[in-house]
Amino acid sequence: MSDMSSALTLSRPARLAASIGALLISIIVLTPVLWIFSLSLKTSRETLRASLLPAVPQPQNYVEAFTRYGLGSLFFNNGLVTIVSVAVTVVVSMSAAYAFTKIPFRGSETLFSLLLLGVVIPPSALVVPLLIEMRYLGLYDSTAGLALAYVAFGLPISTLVFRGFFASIPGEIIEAARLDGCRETTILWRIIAPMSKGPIATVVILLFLANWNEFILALVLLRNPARFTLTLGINAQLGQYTSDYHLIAAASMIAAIPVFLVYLVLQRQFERGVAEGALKS
Amino acid sequence: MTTIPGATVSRTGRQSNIRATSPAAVSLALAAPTLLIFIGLVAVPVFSVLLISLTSWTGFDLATIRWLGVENYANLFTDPIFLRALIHTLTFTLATTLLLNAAGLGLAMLVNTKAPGTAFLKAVLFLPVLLSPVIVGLMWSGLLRGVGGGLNMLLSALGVINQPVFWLGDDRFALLAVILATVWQFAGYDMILYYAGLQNVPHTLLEAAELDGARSWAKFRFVTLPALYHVMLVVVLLNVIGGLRIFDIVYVMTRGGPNRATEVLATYMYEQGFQLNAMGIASAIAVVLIALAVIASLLRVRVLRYV
Repeated sequence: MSDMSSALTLSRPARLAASIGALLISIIVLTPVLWIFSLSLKTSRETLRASLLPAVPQPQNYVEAFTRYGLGSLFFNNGLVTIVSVAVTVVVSMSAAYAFTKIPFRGSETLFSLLLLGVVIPPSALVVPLLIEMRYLGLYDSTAGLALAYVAFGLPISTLVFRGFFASIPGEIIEAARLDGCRETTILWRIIAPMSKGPIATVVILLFLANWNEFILALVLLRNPARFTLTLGINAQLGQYTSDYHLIAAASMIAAIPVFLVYLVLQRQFERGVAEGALKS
Repeated sequence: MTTIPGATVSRTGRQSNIRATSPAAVSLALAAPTLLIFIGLVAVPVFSVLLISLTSWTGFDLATIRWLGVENYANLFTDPIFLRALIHTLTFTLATTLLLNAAGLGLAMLVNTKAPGTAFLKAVLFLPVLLSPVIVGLMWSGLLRGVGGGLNMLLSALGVINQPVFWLGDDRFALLAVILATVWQFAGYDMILYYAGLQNVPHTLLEAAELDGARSWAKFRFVTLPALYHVMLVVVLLNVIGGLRIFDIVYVMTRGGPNRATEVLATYMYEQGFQLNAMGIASAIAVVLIALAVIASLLRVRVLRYV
């Protein structure tokens, strides 16, 4: 690993070494995924034998995993809670960020820094009081309650991202709109929001990844298997001590594939969104 | 902040009845949903968890709650399982932070050579980041299984072992396995952040260093690394906070076992709260978790002040 600090002056052998290194590391990183893919195509007996590949690939494992574990319903629940929570978080945090940056008042900075503490607090540390609170609110074991919890933990980071962007919008635009008699909500949703496609994409990607994959809040706040999300449903199968590793592998692949596909289409936005979301904080 | 609240007020008067309310009221109304949800579901729970940690309670009937004071904390710090969980959490956090940063920075520099194949590597590294830790835990459990597991197959083919090793059932290896699975999942995350940081390393400085005859190491040490300092602080903090709250992957791979060899604060809290209904003790563990996360973020603020 000699000359890696810049792309400027890479000699031919160094470039070749970099390419070979990249290929080897790619293979190592992909191995667990490929292993599970191979496992998902094996028969139940083959899962106990030390074989690299299935003798005869069993694609019907995917159908069986899908129906036996009710993956259709798990996907639906996961999609619903993710879409609702992301949409609500974006709308609510955009208006808060607008208020904090463009209509500051005494104490608004303090309120914002209070909100920022939320970036640090681990959701897992609050599951005990959240469970109790949800029971009192009648939202325990409901999709709405889980979505609301996701909104609460998504708000700090999304408000932070929007605030950073709004601060860069010149005040003259808003002043001019105010002079024309626009209400603040009109300014926000008709003028500012259409300019904010970049930060909206960042926030949607960050929250989509976090909420689609979330586990501990769902584990604590849901009880009825009919409302289970994907990770929860698959985890519940693990508790059964089955020997159906090939089916669990197939279920894992089914759960992973949609996210992979979205990533392949939106690779650049994903990488930018994740980097921006993290480096803003 | 280019808007002056006073200016808006005077214009409101001229604009007659379009906006009769004061800007502060409008602003507060716009921020209200965020503030209410945050206060209700984050701030109130933080205070509740502090309060509950000073009590003995099963979590169901408020009438049965009993005030204990700091007894839960006193008991925790003499509880060998809690102390092990604390040490495991700190070990896990330290190990994953170090490994992730080393891997992330190294891989980012490799990808930044833009040599053929590195774009593919970048995409491959990011795939595990997209997965739920539950799925990652499942994949690694499959790979590390004693019978029919991929690692044992590889090692016995290489002649390293002749008996299957039950990696996740062996308390010498289980924590290491969870650490490696986590590094596998998030190396791509750190790589993307460092890669973004590398794009801001001034090319002119690197060229100047080259003209001065600087070797690769000197260029890295005196140009690249200082330019990445800010990014590094953020990445380290994110890794530390992520490490302290670790739950999913441990829960799925080992449930804290074998013999508590992978017990961490969050899994022990979950056991106390939701399997033993000891809400007071669970809350005290949660307070320790929050305190560690807050201390980590305060340290970062301290460090940044001296940059």
